[in-house]
Amino acid sequence: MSFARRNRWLSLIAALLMIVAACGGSDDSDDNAEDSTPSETSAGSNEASGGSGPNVEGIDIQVGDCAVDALDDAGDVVELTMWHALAAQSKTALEQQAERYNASQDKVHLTVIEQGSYDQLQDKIRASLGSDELPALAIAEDTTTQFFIDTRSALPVQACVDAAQYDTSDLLPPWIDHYTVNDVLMALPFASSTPVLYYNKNAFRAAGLDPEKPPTSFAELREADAAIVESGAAKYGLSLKLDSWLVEHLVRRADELLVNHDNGRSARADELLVDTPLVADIWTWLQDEVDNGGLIAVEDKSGQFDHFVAVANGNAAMVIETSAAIATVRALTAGNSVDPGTSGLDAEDVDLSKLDIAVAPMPSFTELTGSSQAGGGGAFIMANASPEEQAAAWDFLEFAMTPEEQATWHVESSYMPNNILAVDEPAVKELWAADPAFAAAYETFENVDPEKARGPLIGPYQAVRDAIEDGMDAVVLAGQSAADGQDISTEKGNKVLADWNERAG
Amino acid sequence: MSSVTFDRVRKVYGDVVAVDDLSLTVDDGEFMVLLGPSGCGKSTALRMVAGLEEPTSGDIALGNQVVNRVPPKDRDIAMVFQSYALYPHMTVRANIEFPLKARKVERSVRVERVEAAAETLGLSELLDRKPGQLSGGQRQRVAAARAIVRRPQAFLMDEPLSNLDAKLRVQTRIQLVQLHQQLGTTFLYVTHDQVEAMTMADRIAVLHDGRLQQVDRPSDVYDRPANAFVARFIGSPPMNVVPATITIDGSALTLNIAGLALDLSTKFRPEDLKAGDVLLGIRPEDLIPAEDGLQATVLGVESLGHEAHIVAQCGGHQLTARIANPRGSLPHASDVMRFAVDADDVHLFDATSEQRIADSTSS
Amino acid sequence: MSLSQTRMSLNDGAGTYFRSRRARVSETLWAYAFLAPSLVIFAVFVFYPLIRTAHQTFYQPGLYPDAPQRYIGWEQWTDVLGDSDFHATILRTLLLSLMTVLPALVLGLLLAWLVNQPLRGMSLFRIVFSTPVATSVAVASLVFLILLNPQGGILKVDWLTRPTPALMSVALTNVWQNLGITFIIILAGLQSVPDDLIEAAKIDGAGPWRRLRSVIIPTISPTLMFAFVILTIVSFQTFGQIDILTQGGPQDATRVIVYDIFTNRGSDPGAAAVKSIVLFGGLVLLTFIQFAALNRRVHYGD
Repeated sequence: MSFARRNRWLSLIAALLMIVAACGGSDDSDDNAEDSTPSETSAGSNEASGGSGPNVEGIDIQVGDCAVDALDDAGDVVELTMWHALAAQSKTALEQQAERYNASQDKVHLTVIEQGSYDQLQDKIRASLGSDELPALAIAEDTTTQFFIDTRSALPVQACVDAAQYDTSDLLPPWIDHYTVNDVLMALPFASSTPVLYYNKNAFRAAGLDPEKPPTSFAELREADAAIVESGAAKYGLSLKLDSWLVEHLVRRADELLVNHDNGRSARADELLVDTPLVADIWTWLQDEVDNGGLIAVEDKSGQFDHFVAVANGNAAMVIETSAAIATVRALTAGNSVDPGTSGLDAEDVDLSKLDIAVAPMPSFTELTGSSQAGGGGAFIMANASPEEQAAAWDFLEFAMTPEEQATWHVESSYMPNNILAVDEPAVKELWAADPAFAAAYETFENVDPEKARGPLIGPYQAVRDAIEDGMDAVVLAGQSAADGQDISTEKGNKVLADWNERAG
Repeated sequence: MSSVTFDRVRKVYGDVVAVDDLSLTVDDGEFMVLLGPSGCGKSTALRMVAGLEEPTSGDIALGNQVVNRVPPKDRDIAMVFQSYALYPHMTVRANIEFPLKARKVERSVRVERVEAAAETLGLSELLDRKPGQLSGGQRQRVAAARAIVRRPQAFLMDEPLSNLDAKLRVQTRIQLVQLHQQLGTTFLYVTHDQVEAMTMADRIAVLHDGRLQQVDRPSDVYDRPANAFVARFIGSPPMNVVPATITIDGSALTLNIAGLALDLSTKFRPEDLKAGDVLLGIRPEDLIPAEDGLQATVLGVESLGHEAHIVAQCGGHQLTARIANPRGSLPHASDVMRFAVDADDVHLFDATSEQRIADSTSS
Repeated sequence: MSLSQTRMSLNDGAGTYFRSRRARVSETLWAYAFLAPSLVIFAVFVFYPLIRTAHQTFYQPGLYPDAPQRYIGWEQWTDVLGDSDFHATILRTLLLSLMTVLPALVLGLLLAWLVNQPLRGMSLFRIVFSTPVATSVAVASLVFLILLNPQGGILKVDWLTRPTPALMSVALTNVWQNLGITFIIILAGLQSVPDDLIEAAKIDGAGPWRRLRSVIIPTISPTLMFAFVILTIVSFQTFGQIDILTQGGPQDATRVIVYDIFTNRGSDPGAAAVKSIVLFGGLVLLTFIQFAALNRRVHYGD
């Protein structure tokens, strides 16, 4: 063989070796071997689970062990990391709580790390699954319950509850119910909130509206919009971020389902149910309101705060947003500087004199036949953390859930107190007397049926939300018909659900 | 039809004076060669006529019009560059056509002129080739064709033959002269090669350090160089210019050098000469080996077949003698030779100014 | 005959010289040794990911770590390639590329040509126009965000909230970002155009526009071709500008392929893998087409 040819063979072999090396170590299997999920369920007894709902067909949850005593045997201080997506005033409140916890004991040192928005946090968690990048504790969005179940990446809080014989009956029942699947409590409510209506009383007065009677239905919203715009009290009446939870909460308040199989609670959801007259009406309402100038609607994307800013600078009079923003709003109007974090809001941007912000429950579309829905962020303990870290996480949670801590937490962050005994604490009573806005969220849930307040159980929740928003944006921002928008959402949503269910096996 | 006039033209780059007070008129239809060594300013002068450089002071005129401010494309001149500057991506035809296209000449006229130019320069077979596919000589002809296709008032040529090999150079010289005769247009031609100048020019303008040394017909430049520089530059091999002394004894004028005492009274008048140092110019062919005369020691002998050059050392200077049709044996290095010189062949230059000293034959 | 005794003779015109086979092998081994670091880096960071990604397109990943992957053959491919959303994404990417490459080339040529004129102060402009090379995508995009932000931007415009202007804004940022390197490349090309070619054109009567069109551009055509190919590839990989300015919005108007892959990477890694391979193949094909279509008109010099 000539030298040139031999060289070429050498190169080829070298290249092939590299490829073979690359393929080695892959975890593929060529047959359709489906891993049979072990069907052992919780070893411990279900003590204080508030859930009385049906078991979800086809889902088996391994509860695992939570070694709550591991802390006693730990030699060094256990470093505990907690990821979260809180911003502005809430973030500050969390950091202060962490400091209080660290000061109160010397076995655990807690560090809280903000990871952007809930979506960004979830992306990060997903990317870190199976690696040791994952922290022991994460405050993930309430919608991620199914995700953690299917990826088997969370240690159900039930394990620690059982091991520590903890009584959860004082914790917010609707939330406990929401986080319980097949009688297993997956997470503890931590950053609990619900959408509320923020409105500027000054604008109401200027428009001739009664500032003590904010709209309770979307029909009344429309009237208020018209009055505000006509009177020139503001350029727009309502300001909204076109977020999927708007649809989700309105659907829940109308006692309708978002996905099939009882919102995913009786079996895995495989159909997105936005093809309903209610959703068509909602989207058409939004579209019309944009057209007649009463509503300014902005797209949902990471770091989107334009809808808040619109109210802050007086362009709009109302906005529907999380109840957890109250603390930040109050801090801004009081002239305090707020850690902008990802909020992008700064006190200097706001003309304080024009604002007299009050809070009311979120309007229903027509009337409240269903319920407000439990939401916010839940505390999930990660499965692949070390026993010491898991014990540390539980220790912190126990600390955080005491009535005193919950009182401070609520007062500083405006998140709902997770422990109902906290409302009897003097700090809370004082605050609510002085500023009823803080009480609004809690009061909407006081007499609610926990089963109705549960949110849907969906594996690929983020993707389903994207599908809903695609349809909503097409209608509200791009002027398509509601039917077209619903088709878009249904098609995408169903595909996403089908893919997930396939992958879940 | 037009002449080219330099009127006290000066070009300065920073501290360097490239062209110093040049005044020269190229007559209409004349073939004028600007001759000089590298750096003498000849190319700069040419580029100023082309409009590629602007004079620092002084005027350039084409015909009656002062063109200092006129851009190249509006002067009716064409230029052939040393590197030919053909457009490599265009065919020969497109290259030749380009100047016409640029001036928006009508298509039919273009086609006709291009073919005529190609015919004149023997390029008709090569019209569809690209410059990369041509030989050096062919490329040079394309450059010339591109220049003549516009029938401008004057042709400017910047050492167009220097990239050709010796044999081709001779051929092309003849062709260029023929072209000039055919077209009758003014040619302004720049070169450092005095053979080209001597064979092609109607008149030669010799430049040195930016200054005009002499402008005359070739025979005059050859026979009566205006100064020692011109003398040393022209001729192949060039004139020998060496120091000598003049003694005047009444009416006896004697040139003394290296054992030669030559009576100059046949050629020079007493009033034109001073006693003392002087520069002697003598052509190689005017040094005749003899029994008696100027003494020199042979350094080397170059035999070219039809003639031989003897290079000899005389005093502190070298002399070259040319022997035509050498018969018999040639001298060897370190031989001592003597040369006879005829007074008629003597050229004298002032020892300080190096200017030609007038003799009784000059008018 | 043993290896060391085999002789090869090489005639290089000045004579012949002999090199033993052993010397030749040794030289080849040294060559590979020097190439090895580069090859290793390429293998690890380019070849291996490429092959793994291709491999991944045929499998559906499980949900939990250590879950087995399911072999699904071409299913993912047909899903993605038949998805009308993906078609729209590709069209958007092509459109963005067009809006980036052509203006960047034209502007780069114009600026380089201007700076190449022998006027005073040009070296200052050379520096100024080259500066985009020194800025990172993130920084440049942030600056544009400050300019274009619908709420409180310096320019009071709402380009970023409307679909078509949003894509154009991204293209604008892209053009600016790539102008530096385009300018430098073309300027280098311009400076290698022989002076006498331009002078000949001037004397031939060509004005500035004709000189540019008939002489300069053909002469720098290899440079322009290079810039064109590079710009196209880079424009297909636009990501940073979109992440900072529009996050794929408004209403997916700026959701180009790399951004799409990025947002899909966690939730649908199989589809993301398919799209990555499609991007790779598409770029190879596009470059091929560019060469085939344009190489005729590129003059590579004598």
